Amino acid sequence: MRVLSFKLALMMFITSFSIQAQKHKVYVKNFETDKNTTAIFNLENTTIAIETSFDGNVYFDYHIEFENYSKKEISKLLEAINIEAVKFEDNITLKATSITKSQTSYSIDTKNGITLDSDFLGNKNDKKEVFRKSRDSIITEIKDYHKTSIKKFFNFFKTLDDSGNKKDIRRGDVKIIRSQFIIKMPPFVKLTINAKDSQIIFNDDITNELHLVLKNGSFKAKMLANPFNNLKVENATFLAENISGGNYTLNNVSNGLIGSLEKVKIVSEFSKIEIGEIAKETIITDFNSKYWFYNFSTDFKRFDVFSEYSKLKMFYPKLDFSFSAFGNNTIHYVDGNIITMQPSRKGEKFKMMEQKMKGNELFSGHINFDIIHGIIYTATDSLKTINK
Amino acid sequence: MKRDIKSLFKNPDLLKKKLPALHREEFIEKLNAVKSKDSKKLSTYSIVKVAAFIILFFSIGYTFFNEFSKKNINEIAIEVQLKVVEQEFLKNINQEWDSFLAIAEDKMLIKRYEEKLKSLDNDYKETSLKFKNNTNNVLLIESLVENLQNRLQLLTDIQQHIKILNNKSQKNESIII
Repeated sequence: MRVLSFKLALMMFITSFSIQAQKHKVYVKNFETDKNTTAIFNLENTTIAIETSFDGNVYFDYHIEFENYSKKEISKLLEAINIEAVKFEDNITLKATSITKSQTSYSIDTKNGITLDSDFLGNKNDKKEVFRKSRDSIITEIKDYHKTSIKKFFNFFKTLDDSGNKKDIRRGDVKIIRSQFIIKMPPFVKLTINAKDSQIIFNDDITNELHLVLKNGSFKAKMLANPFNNLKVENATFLAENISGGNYTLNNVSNGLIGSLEKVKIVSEFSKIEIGEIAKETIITDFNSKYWFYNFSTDFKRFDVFSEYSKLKMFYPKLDFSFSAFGNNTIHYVDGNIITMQPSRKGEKFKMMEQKMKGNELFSGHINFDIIHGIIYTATDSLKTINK
Repeated sequence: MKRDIKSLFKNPDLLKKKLPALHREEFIEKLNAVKSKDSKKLSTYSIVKVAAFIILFFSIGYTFFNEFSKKNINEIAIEVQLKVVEQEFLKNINQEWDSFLAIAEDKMLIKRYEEKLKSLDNDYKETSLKFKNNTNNVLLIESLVENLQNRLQLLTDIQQHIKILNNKSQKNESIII
């Protein structure tokens, strides 16, 4: 009898859930392609997830799931979506304006309105003590990134009761939109994406040539491997498990997490970027960003950083390496010691530090920092930063 | 069985029958009594009907007004709250900007920050317009607050950076290991 009651309760739960969550088909289309095919996506307020197509066709498959929305609200939201994909000669163009810049979007419907919890407004100060992270732990952070966002959401927003007291948000008061716009692309199609207020996710390793401009939103990828890739990301989150080849311009990337980098040129400004592993021949040119370099591969060969007003935190390579730091008006904290380089009138740079290779073990590469008005922290496994 | 009704009046006995003397007065009296009873019934019914209509009208009106004002209050509540947050942040941003100008000697740095803050302010205005049309959207609220936090953080970070550089000892040093 107890088992039956449990089954009935389970059935009722499943049924009620399926009534509350309604999945709607928004757009489905596919095109044949060949090796000359190129694709351009112009996106606004849209979330897309790109996967590999193995049969040579491009597929657009857009579904949205609404939870706790009325039929009237759903129909109004669906009306606001404009999607059109066309193929002309060798070019496929997708133009999409949708209703959410995130895979999961929340609205709260409560009697007394919502409020921001004070934690939400708190300053995000950097931790004073920084420990070396492994490449795999950065990749795990990337994979879990959006899960944390959901937790953050429930922590930072509160509802108000009749007396005006803050209360935790009830699941039933939350209206949820789950956007599933899956685009399958064959690996040979050259892809250009112009996106604003959008979320772009690459679910598979991508070898397509990719040109991307993203302003506001977020970008997440597994492996991006193409020497001709050119990505410009501004005011957005940037998450990539592995990048091989290409040029990346990162402007005001407040949450930058990169698992590993090789043969990449990064031009950045006003950003915060953590890199799990510098693999090979990477060059960074920066203005006023914060970087964390946690590890180096066993044969990174050479790593260059040219920067102004940057704050660099680096953990030494585990194998033999050489290191030189040139600077003007720069301060370098080395394992608790301080090296300073005063500003020179002509702005010329001087050698601040040189660490030669030991020569008795496998040599992994040379690190070169060329820095004006910078702060460098270098350490073996943990470092303490100065926050004044 | 068809029968012509006119044939009934051809019966001479029927025509000879006379009505009772007070028949007409009694009839009129009875008619009046029925009329006044009906009119009494009608007026009570009308009152109930009108009252029901008024109650219905007011309850619908009240419910509608209540819901409408509740919705407005909710919308206004988060808008007001965000306005307060915005004003507080902007006040701090302006203060930090002034103290940044007081310690920054590099004109190029000031120009870059001016451009960056202007660009973030333009983004904020754009997002604010979207928020006005969708006040319960958490993503928009998050974007607005993050934008303000970002501006403030940039200004506090660069000042901290400049202070660390200015506090260093007055010697040029180099180490060769």
